[in-house]
Amino acid sequence: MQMPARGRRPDFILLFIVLVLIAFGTVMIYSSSYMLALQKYNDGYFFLKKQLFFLVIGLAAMFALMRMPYTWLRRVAYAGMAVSLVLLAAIFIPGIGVTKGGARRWLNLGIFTFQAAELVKVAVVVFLAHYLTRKSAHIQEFRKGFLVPLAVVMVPVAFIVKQPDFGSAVLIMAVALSVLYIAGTRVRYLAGSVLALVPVAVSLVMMKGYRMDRWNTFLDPWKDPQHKGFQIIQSFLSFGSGGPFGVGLGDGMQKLFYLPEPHTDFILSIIAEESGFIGICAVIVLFGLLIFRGFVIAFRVQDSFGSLLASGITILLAMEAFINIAGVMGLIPTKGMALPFLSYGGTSLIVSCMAVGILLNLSTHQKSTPRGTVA
Amino acid sequence: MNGRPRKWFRFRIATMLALFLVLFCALVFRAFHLQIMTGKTYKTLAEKQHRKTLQLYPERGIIYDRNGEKLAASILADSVFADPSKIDNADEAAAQLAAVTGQPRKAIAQQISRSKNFCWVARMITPAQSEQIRNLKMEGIYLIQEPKRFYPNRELAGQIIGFVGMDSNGLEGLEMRYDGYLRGEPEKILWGRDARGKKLYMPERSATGKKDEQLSLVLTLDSRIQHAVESNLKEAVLRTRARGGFIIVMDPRTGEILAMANNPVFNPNAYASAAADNKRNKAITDCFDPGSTFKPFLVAAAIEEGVVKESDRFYCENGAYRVANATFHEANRKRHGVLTVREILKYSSNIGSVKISEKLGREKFHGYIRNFGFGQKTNIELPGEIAGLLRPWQNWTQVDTSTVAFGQGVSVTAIQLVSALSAIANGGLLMQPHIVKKFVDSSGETVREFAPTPVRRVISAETARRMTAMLTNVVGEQGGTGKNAALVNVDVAGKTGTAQKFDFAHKRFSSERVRTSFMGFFPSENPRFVMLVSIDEPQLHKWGGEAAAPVFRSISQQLIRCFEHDIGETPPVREKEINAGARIQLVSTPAAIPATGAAEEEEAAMPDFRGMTVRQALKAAQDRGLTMNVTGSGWAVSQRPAAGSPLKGHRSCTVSFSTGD
Repeated sequence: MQMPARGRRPDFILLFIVLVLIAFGTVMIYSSSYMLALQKYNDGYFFLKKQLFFLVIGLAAMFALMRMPYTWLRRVAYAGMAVSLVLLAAIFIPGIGVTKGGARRWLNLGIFTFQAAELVKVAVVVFLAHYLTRKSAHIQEFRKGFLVPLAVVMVPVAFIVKQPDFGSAVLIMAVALSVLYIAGTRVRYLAGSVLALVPVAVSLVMMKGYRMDRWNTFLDPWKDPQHKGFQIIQSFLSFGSGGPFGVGLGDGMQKLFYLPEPHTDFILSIIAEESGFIGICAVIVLFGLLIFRGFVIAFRVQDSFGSLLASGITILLAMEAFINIAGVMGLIPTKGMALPFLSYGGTSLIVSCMAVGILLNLSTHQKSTPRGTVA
Repeated sequence: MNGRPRKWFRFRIATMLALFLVLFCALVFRAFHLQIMTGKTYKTLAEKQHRKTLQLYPERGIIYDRNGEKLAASILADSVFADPSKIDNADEAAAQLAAVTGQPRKAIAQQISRSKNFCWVARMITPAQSEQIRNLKMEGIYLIQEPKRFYPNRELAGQIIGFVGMDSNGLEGLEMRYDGYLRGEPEKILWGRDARGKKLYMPERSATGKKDEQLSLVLTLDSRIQHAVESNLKEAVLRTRARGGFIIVMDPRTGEILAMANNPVFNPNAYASAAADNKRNKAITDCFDPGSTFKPFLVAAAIEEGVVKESDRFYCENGAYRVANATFHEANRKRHGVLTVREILKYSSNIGSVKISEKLGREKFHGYIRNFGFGQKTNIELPGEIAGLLRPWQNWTQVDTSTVAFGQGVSVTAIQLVSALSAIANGGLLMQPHIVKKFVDSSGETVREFAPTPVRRVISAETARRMTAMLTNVVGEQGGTGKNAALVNVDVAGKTGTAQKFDFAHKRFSSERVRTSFMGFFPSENPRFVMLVSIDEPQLHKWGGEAAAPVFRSISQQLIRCFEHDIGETPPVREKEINAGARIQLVSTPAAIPATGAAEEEEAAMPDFRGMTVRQALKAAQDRGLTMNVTGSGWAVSQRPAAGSPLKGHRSCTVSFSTGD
């Protein structure tokens, strides 16, 4: 028996998980950025205030996307890709693009800057979900089921590599390939494309000295503990200092200019120091639950577009979380990538909220499948 | 998408989910590894960078002589340090500093460019230099007062007192031996600091011992005697053109060292430029063959054992006595016929001594030598003492036994010789020689006193009395070898000695290179002073009676003049007049206090309230007579006027507080 397609209540577990992560993240942003903000802007609440402002926008976007019929997204799927390309191109226009730390990644929107790649991630997922649903009959074909969608995705990826934002480029490619896999593209095409992309990635790494440095630092951070290895070693020290239970919220020392970027990419290190192994486990488990709920939604949504969209968004969030967490713990080379919901950063927070809004929307469209039965 | 495709779709989602579950489990394991398994290592490393321990030593204890005269004290001297983070042009700064301190410009520039927040530029400079530095008013260059060890009597007892290094750590002599007591327990101050080196919160004074636990030493030395001894020794060394020499004066009743002098002298104020050899206290670190000064111990043993009496006669072979494969002669090729035991000592007959030793037997002789304290450390409280050389009697050949009888083939230290003679002087009791009378704390209270300690009875009081009588003859009677040591109205007991040095080049005892000594005590009837005078390789007056005995007499005359009454009483140590609070003070050339280093606010500057609680800040302000306007609550985050600005004019300040959360 089937419940009405529309009118189910959204997945409150997912909503709860996300709100807990956001609340924890806000506290930690305050804790980790206070001294830095005081030093830089003479206002300890500088980053907290900005983050709260973005949070309001993010939550509004989340609820808007939750209410809106998601089929609307199919209509803007291609437009989304076009807009993405325009935004990515606009970054290279002087005056509009903002350069920070040697990379042009931001659009100047007057009161704040906008990191275009974040939006592109969601746009790519929406585009792929829409396109692959349309071509579901030809999904096993090489051209329609593999080459065309991948080629389209690689256009914005090329822009992103140019910024340069190697991490986001790799992430988008990985998400795209995962979505293709779920949609049913032949695995041998996917495997082949991975084999083809690896040398490209390796050559991109070799081309830039700093990427090579990051790789070497990943292999042996203690080779140059004062410079190249400094950040990751300080992250290790934070984790170690935290021990099982942490030194207590607000009492961490590592944020006092030892650990660079304590409120953005390395916020998890501060969490590790202040709330210990318990806190890290909590964060990882929360992300695990979030992913699980995301896939459950993908499982249950009736139409293929919804399923693909839910999977794609879940994979996107999962990969972002994994790359950040594994990076700060030295499992993979560090990438300047935010931890969704926890790191300071307006675009990341808003886009992540939007993604969750879409997931929540999709959760209202699932058919109720009693346990054990197959539809 | 229904039926079969849908099933495959779900399978693919499930594989993705499984993949992420595996990845996230790996993350949890990695966190476990970092935080639980290897966490301690990282935590230690982190604490090392977060904390800065400052060790503040109390002012080093003083070394007094028995009368409260300061032999070693501390004064405050300026040292220069730099905060390289505040220096823009290291080369220019180095050039200016080099002009004042006289150090090479390059070395200073290197120091400055190498360090981050703190480096020494020059330690303990002269007041004139520090005035110049102050006038330069350089940014990032600061003066700090450090206690500097000062030896007001210069070379007086230099080798005994020793010296301290740059960081007030004892490196030689008593300064080294009692370093822990003189130095005291450091006050450990822990600062939290951020990565920019800024102090974060007020120090937690750790509870390692209370403040000012350093002790001062009161020695048994009497600087008046020490002075007399040193000046006489110096004069004697010059007169005889000797390599050097040493003199020890001991109170035989207590074993207290009243004076101990070495020549060449050593001035601990200039330890860096002194020859290493001169820093050693040769009276305890070097051994030598005692020569004829050893004969009294042989005779004492023989009398104690009852094998000879003073009047027993020995035939002295007319100056040539063959034992096994060696022939022994008298000193200066003298020839003696029949001598009594008394005369053997008086004329210092080698052959007579050999004959006495034959009668005593090598085993017993060896036993007495050991009982007199030879061949083992006396355990005087001075570093570097050696045991001397006394082979086991089983290894002695007949010739060995004979040479030991007149003090060749056995090596002793001066302190052993003096202690052994004291045992004869005081009635047969070997006393533990000692030089530290007591420890006193900074208020002058005695913390620990070292009482005279007898080691063992070596000979009976009767034997000691008879020995004293015989040794008095050596000095007092016409023709005695020690007549040059005789004093008017005071009976002196003593014995000369000239030991040939073993010439390693020719493998025989040299007749050119000798150590000539005189040891003795007075007054014979109630000995107060035992003294050993030993001159190393005199070029003139090679024989003990001529070189050393007059020195003994000269010193003795001065002692008698000074101490016509009992000298045993120790006047109390004067109250310590050092201001305990004036330890490390920081004087900065520019107004700002450096953010790091051993910084304590200068009294006349605005204190750094940052990091204090309201209560702490109020107290700090009150201590300096400031009124404070408080805004906010929590911890102080900013203040006006800025920390370190001069106080004059300002009698109030405004401090903003903020809660950290």
